[in-house]
Amino acid sequence: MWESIKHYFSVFAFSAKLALQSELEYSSYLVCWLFMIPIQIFSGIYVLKVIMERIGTLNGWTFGQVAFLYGLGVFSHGFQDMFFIQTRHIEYYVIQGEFDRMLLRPMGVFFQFCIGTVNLCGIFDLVPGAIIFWYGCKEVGFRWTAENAFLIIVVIIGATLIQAAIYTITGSIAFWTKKSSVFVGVNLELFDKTTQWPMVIYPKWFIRFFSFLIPMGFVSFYPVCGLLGISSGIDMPIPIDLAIWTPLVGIIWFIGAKTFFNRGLRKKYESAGS
Amino acid sequence: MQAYIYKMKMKMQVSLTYRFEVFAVVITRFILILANVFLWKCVYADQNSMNGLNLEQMITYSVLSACLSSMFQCGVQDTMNKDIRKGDIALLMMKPYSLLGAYFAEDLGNIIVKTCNVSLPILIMSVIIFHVSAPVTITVIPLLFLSIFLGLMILWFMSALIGMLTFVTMELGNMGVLKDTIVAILSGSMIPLWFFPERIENILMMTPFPYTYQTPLGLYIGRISIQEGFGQIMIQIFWVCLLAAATGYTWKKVQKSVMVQGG
Amino acid sequence: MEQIVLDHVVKEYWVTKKKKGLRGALINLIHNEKVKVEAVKGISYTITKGEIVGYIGPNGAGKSTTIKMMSGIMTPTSGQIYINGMSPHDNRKKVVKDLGVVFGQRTQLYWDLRLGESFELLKRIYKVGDEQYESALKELTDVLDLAGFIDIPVRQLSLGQRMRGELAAAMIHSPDILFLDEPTIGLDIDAKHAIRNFILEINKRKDVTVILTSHDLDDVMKLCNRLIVINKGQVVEDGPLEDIVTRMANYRMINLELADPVTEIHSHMVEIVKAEGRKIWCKFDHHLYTAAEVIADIGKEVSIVDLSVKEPNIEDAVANIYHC
Repeated sequence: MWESIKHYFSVFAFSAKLALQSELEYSSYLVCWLFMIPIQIFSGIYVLKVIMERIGTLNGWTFGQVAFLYGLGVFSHGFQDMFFIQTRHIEYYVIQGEFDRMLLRPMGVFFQFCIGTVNLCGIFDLVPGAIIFWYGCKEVGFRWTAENAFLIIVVIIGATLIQAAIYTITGSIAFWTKKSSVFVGVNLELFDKTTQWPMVIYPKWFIRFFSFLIPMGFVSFYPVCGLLGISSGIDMPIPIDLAIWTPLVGIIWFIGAKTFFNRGLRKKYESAGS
Repeated sequence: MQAYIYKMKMKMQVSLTYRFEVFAVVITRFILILANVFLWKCVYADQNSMNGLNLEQMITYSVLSACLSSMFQCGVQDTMNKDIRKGDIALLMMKPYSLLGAYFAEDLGNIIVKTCNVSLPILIMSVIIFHVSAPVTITVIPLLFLSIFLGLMILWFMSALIGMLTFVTMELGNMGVLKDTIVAILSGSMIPLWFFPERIENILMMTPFPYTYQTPLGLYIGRISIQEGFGQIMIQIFWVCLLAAATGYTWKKVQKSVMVQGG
Repeated sequence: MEQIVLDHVVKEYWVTKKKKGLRGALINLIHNEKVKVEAVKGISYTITKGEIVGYIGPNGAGKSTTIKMMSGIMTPTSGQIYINGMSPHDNRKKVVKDLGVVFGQRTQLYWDLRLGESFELLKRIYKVGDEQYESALKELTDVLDLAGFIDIPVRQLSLGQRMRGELAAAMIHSPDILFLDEPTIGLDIDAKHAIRNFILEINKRKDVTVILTSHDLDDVMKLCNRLIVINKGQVVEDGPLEDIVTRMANYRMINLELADPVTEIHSHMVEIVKAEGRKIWCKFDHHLYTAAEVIADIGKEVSIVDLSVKEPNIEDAVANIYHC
């Protein structure tokens, strides 16, 4: 068991190192993203600021709280970009037969798939996200106790897993239909709208749908409610406004995504070409 | 002329082949409109009007902005980017028709398809579900078409220029995505520029960006009166001519340099 | 020892048939016609350890499909495959540990990195011990002459260098089975020789079983002792290479140098292919006559100064098989 973990870890570490080296070869290519991504992020929060200046609070949320949420959402998105961006390209992998190479190796294909890429563009999300988050922290007077720090870390991990899981599930549809890249754009926008805007602005049925059917709400909305002591307005038998749900939901969904992916791979993957 | 029509048909055929994609795009676009509408409903919960717009106008604005963005297909910047990177551009220039014209024909085909497949369905769905108002008066309609067309041409020429920029910025990535981001913010497609502080609004009105989305949309909901509309259309025409000239000039230089160096 | 067993393996899949033109595209939005393609229609054979088998057939015959099924990339629609006693579908990871695969048209190396880095990653993936890795690497570097380019990024290598790199990568973990799918495609003669030598070496030294798919029949002639020919998804020939060639090739060539220039030979046993001055090339059906009979017959008409008789041509044999 321990041997197995050591093995997987050493492959992961080496693979990440190689992936990073590869990225650095093409670092000049990143220039356009260097500008575009921060501009998008800052203009997004600016739009919210402009609106909120006129109305004061957004359904009870102050701008500081909104900034806290927005920053956290962007930051997890950046993480997802860095380590799991390939989950958005499953269609490409399927059509080009990129999984052939992984099937020939004596390790799980999903594992190889997950560790294969390190995307430096993610940094362009992480930094602006962190800045906005830090601003939000100050505005709401967030206290960095050990417990809070721990929660933030597991929330980020859980949020990354949730996002990776959703992209993997929608992407894996390509095993059956050869087309799944359409969902990528959808997911990106949906995640933006549910993690950067406080979900209280949506009607209850919308919130429930994007919490219990598709767990986007757990990426930043519920944990932020928990961390800042705001009520999400959703009443459940067990309290839902807790940050700790995020990593749990993340792990469960990630395992589900892996299962779905493997099903598609075993049953339907036909390789490519002759 | 035959060649251009054929190109247009080909693009339409390709676009239609992906039926799954077509259905998915419509649904997903609609979901995004939904989210936007909820935001505005929440924002307008305690007030009737903001910056001269009431909730219904705001919703109409959002919906139509999404329709327009599906219609404003300027694939030329990505196609050119790809052709230049792969080195095909030299070969393509040797064909017996204007390459720029061909790019436009392809985009036109795409526009027709997207308008019918995406913009129309989401418009219909939105009209049924939300309160999307009709154009403020009937007389505005011809102006509307004109300003939409001019807005498209502004965007198209900008895209063509950005596409050509790839010759210079090849190493730096696809500048088109950067331009699209900036356009989305500055054109009033996300949120009308009337919401921004006056100083910023004034500066932006000196760029071509607001005249792509905000002009037709403003005319539609009546925030821009017919008088003002004419004025803005004049400005649109000005920008179209300027950008067209810039595009033509740059294209000639590009052609010359490709012929000399061989792409 | 039976190492590779295929038992009535079948592979079918569905392909969408699209209508033409703009109108067709509109119709396709609503309705799609699907057509069944039978790539492999019941193939069975057994390969024992240490064989070098040539697996040939026309394009689209099902060769690559079979290899993919044997390596666990694809799953058979029905039938069984056993590699070292295990099914590649059910026990992929175990089977693959002892398998090396090279696809001529697809790379398994990491494009942007130095060749050596790919090897290092494979070492970790296959859990190759340090000592074993060092000795394998040394041996592969020697036999395939990798020293000159092991530190160059894969994307900058020439095709010949890349193929040698692929072979090395496939062998790093010392598998006992090697599948080669068009390994010499597009290579120059030196590179081909290097690869052929490599295959013979590892087969001799380590008893590695090799299945080779190639359109280059020279490869097949020089390397394989057994030939399996597949056409339209079925095995049409399976046996020792020489037997098949002798049986399926109709003609052998005789090159003659005569005392005097001659333009015609009356013997009904031969057909003239080319005549130039005192040299004549002609062919005879070796199923009807022996070489000795033919030479005697010609010798009655003309004075032979020198001659050579060629073996039955594998290209003829294979062309005949494909057309059956």
